[in-house]
Amino acid sequence: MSCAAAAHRPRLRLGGLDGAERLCLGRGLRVALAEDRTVPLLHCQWILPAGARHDPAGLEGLNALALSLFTGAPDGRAGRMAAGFEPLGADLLPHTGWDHATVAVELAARDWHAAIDWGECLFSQPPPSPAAVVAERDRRIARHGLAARNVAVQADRWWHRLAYPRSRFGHPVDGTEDSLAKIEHRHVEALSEDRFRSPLWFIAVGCVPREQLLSRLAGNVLPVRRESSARPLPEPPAETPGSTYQLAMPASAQAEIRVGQASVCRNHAAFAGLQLLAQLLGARLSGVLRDRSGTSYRTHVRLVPGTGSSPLIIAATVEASRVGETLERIAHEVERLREEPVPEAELAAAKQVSEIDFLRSLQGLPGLAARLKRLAVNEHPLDHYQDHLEEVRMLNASDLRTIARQHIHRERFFEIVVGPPVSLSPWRTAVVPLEDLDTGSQTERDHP
Amino acid sequence: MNAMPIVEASPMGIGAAAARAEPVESWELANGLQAVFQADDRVPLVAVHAAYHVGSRHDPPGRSGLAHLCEHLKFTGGGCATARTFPDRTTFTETLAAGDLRRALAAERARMTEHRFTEDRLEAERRLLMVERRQTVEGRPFGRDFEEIHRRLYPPGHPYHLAPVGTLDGLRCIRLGDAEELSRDGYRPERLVLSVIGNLLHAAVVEALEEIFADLPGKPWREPSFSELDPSNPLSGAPPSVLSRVPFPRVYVALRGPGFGQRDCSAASLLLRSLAVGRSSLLARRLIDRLGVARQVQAHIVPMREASTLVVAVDGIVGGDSGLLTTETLAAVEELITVPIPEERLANVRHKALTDLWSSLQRPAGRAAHLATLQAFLGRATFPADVESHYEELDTGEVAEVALSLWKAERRTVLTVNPERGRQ
Repeated sequence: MSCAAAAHRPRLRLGGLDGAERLCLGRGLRVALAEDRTVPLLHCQWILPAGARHDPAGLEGLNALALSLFTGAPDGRAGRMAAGFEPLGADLLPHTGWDHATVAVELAARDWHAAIDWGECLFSQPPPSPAAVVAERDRRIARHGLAARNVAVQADRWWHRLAYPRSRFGHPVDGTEDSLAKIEHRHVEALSEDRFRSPLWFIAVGCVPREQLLSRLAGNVLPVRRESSARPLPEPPAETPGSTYQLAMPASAQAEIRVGQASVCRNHAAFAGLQLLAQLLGARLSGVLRDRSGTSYRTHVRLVPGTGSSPLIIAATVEASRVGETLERIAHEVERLREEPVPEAELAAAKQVSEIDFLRSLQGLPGLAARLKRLAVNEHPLDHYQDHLEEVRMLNASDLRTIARQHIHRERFFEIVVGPPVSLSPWRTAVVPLEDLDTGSQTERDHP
Repeated sequence: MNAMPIVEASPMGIGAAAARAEPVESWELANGLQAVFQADDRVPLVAVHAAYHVGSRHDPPGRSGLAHLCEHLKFTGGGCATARTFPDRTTFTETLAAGDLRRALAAERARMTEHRFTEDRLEAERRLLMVERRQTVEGRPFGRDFEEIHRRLYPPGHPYHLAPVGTLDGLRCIRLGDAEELSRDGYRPERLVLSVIGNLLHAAVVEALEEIFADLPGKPWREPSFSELDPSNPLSGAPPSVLSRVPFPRVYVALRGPGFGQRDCSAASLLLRSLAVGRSSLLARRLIDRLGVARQVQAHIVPMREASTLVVAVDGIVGGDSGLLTTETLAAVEELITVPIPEERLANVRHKALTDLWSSLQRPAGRAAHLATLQAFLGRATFPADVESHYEELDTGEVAEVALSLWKAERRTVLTVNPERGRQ
């Protein structure tokens, strides 16, 4: 992959990212700002070191539960203050990811100070009350009960549990009914002191009143946590030979299929190539399963970037009678990626779609903030995405076939079918009913 | 302030908090094609949104789903392209490199000139539409409710009676000739509004449109109007509750409102927000906070040319009493009608309506769709939209008048969806 041509290629305009800046305030708070004046809104994000990877073994869902309580418990100061956002027309969006928790606030630019003042309140409030912990825990357990009836949610959850059997990555970010039931007030109290006192970053994009905003942040007395993201990568998950698993949900109208494997981490040299392969595979499957045969209205392929491992997942919703042939078609298209070079025109089209998708993500404030956040928490330079786009442009058919052969292995795939009972013979001979699987004896280890 | 750069500093700097939108240009070609353009130079892309006056209101009797099927037949795909069918219109949106505008326009021209389909293609799309219906309507909890509400609000024979997705019977009856006829009659320049937003110059867009579309013949056309607010247009007398495979009860209150973009529609939107959007809404305070009988309230407006469907949905708790849920929901609606919204509360919902509007207009694709809809329904595309000034001008008196005229019992329908026994 030569980069000789890259030096002469004009760099793409990347909207708000082109004028972005990063600062460290006197007391250590790190701030990233990007301007976009299309509409009079400001989008702010506080980034906290409270991702699901920090959930203690057996208490999965603790960080997500604590974030929800810290930002919105009605008897908490921040919760009462957040209720004051509603008259401002502001949206408060707490989100727990694997590595970090993010609290996003989007509001009219003229009300920018409310987002800063609320952040200060958030990080200095006392832990939530025992009653609030119990109420939120029970609410989340009830939500799990409703999700148990959702075929797509069940398919996603079972796929993760099987693909990451000895890792907490195999559990949903919001835990399970069992793990939530074990969470007590003391767990939330300890976590709040450890992870909800110090933001890692503050991100602001949109109509940013730069000087006033920095001034207000500088007057804020929060302690600031410095946590390097350059930590050693955990051991990747075990490469268990794949099997086909089936979960019967007789009342469902359609079957959900999930097929895929645990793949390389986001910083791996092959990641950009795998992303392009995922896109090619998605386009091919959509052409075959949707446009040509009318089998599936929704088919997509995702490579979800992860710090230790990125799940590569093929998802399709089909009628029960067409599950077997769909599994065969997916297997065939995966094999084609490994065996046949991608035709030039198809490759060029995939690269263009990839680039347009990236640029589109910069046209909305949440997307722009998400890109800025990724640069910040991964300690990438501000021109990182220019290099990434160039890397994708330079990939050729031979590179992609090599990457597919090295990193996509059907024998490592997990196949899950959730929906009406259906016989998978003759397509699959070894089918494991999920009802018979003992998932209670998993041993825990760190996030992959 | 004590700030110091640690990584890189901005070459551009960041100033005060004012938005900076480019002006919107709109014009009409000699053949009746209407065009809208707004420059947006943030990234080297362009969003092209085509809105044809072809929707489920044009489905012939017994052929429900024809406009939707035609949309599928006309859709040429692409990685960043989408298509949708609404009651009044069918839209095709694509985002592409700014330099590829002419390719998108050529595809649009092909949509207006190629009207022959094959039986094989028709069958594949018919099958896909049936799968789509099973996945998005029949296979989803509460998935059929939207259709049911429309059937109740708009009686048989009304253009909005059936939903765009189509019925299984209607889809089965469609013949190749039906699709080709709708394609020839509906996909024409005088029935198209083309909205272009991106990193381009106005003059270049005008030139490209003239070059690609000017030779297509047009003829005078006007969408026939119907009086939506005619009180002689009764609601259907369907039973107030139904059983379904759902985990908890849900109550809907829905009504026929004013058409999209009209001042009264903006007033109706403020009323809907006061009733059902956010924790301080009438329904949330009464049913969630005070009585504990509901777990969530939501509100939607389905914007259409001559009427908007306003819907409030209240989710009960699992195993809860749906009768109480219905009674209390209607009590909150009565309060909305009889007690004018205080000025302070109106200011709050106005603020939320404005931030939601701005949020929906951030992306060029969303803005292109919004501007095309304004142009198609009202004949003028403005940004920020007329809707924004409506929100700012409406006072408590005017909103209270709209509440009295719109929300009375004879204009609304109530639907309670109960879990089937043993399926909760």
